[in-house]
Amino acid sequence: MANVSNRARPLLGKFFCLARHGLAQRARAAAPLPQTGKVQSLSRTSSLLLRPLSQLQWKYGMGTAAAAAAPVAPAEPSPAIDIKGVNLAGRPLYLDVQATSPVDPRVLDAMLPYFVEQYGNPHSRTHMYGWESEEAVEKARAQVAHLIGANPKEIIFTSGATESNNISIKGVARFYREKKRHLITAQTEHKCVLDSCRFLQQEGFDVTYLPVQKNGLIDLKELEEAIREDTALVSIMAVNNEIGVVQPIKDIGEICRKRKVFFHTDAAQAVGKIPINVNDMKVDLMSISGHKLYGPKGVGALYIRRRPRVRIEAQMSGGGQERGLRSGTVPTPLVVGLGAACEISEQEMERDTAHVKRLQKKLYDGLTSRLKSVVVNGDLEARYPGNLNLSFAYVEGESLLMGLKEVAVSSGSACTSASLEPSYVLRALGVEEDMAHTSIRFGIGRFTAEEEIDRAIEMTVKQVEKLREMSPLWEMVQEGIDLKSIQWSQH
Amino acid sequence: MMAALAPSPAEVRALFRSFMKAGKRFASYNMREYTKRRVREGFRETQNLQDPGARAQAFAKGKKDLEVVKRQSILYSLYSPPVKSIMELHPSSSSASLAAAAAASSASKSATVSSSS
Repeated sequence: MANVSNRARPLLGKFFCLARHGLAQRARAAAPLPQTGKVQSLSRTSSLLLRPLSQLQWKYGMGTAAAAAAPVAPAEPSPAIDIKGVNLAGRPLYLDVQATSPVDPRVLDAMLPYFVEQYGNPHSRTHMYGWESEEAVEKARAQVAHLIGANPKEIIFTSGATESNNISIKGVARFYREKKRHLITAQTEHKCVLDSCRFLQQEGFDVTYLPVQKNGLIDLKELEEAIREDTALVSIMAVNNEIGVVQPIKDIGEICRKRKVFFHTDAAQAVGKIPINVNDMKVDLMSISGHKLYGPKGVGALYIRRRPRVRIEAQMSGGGQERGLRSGTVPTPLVVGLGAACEISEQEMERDTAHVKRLQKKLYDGLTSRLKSVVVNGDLEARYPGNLNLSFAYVEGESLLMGLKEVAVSSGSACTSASLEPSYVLRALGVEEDMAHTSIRFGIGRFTAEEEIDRAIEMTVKQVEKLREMSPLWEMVQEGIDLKSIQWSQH
Repeated sequence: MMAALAPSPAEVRALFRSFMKAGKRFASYNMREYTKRRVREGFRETQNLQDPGARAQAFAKGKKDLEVVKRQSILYSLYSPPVKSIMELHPSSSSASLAAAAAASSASKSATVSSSS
């Protein structure tokens, strides 16, 4: 029963309602009861149509059912939004900042001039339009560099973290292909890192996918043992997009530097949220995304270390922009937005962190104090507080997401949210299939209001209780039956 | 550097009031709430500044940010979606009554579909 989707439920209810209605009429026809007013007229209409198996009855039956259902919600305005078959009274509250974050108004304010009058191509060298755009791009480069403690010359602009990851992994592997044939990454990496590695495997490279421990962190010893003579690159993400665990980047950086292996980190979820310094952490390549730190979508950056120099083979052939590493006209407004977002994040980091931490605690305490069997996925300590990935035992995840239509959350990464498969990240953690199916990722950010958390707690608790009430598994657990001891019959 | 005079308490209060007033004009619930929170935090952080230079600097930054709030609140109002956030709707429109409304609408929809067939 638990997998009857919410969308189907009202419809099912209608059918039951219809069936009951039909039965009553039949009973009335057999032994007429004293009838008055509305009921009488209603039964008159339907008695006229009481022809078994006639389509008419079906047709009008539907009509009367709707008429009967209407008074249930008298003064209720019709749902304001009807999108993808879901009716909503208002825009849902947003708790999915890992998927993307709203653009900060200060960022948009910085970008707008470059959308209107200052539209020059930053690579135009012959006129003022080009010069002013170039100036803006270089300012943005400095802003990005400052946030991560780098030199502006070490930053190139890309279309986003996916492109940055592709350039890093494929670019390094291909440049050093003569001597180095091996790469190391982790099983919980983002799809674009894993897919780039798969791609290289087809070209004959060797890839080690490091397993993670139960808390989502990699084992440093295992990493050290995996490094070989011909290892070109280690790629480990800073903050996981699904479970929010923060990998020991500094320790990994030390190991890689000691073993003379390049270290790339996908810091899309980390930059602007936790302090990052490429020199302290000995990072050689780092991917940055604009829309994860309250900047625009479609822009990102890649940090490439100059000393000791990391060399890469470019992916894009063209006009040789960005020192030939990423050809294509630099999108001035987007890049200005990324720069502004970095500067603002640097100024706001302390305030944001305090706010996010407070709300995360509130959400976690609010849910765990009112619901039993709620498990946090990933380490609770080594975690970016803006990400709270919870599994609600004995609740079907999709049903919960459907029931929580007024809270914009997801079960994991947005890229894989179309599939019903449980997240590969949770499976890599060793989370059991049933618990992986019930995970929900709550994302808290700069623009999350405290009242939204209160409302989210309220709605989640209500939905989980409702679904558990319907769940035979939950009933059995309440009766003290160990579900693992049950021998389910095979069909 | 002549302009860098420390603001008087009255000027600071006026700036705070202007911020609050401008922030309220945001059509977006989240931006309104954020402006309120951030302005309060900002003024709390700077209220104990002693150095006149630092006070003047903070005041100048505040004035610049106020202009951003004014501009952006206008912009947001120009492109605000027709439907408000559920946080702004009456608290009674919780999921229970909404489900009823959704049920009623889906029923009437299927009724029209079937009667037209």
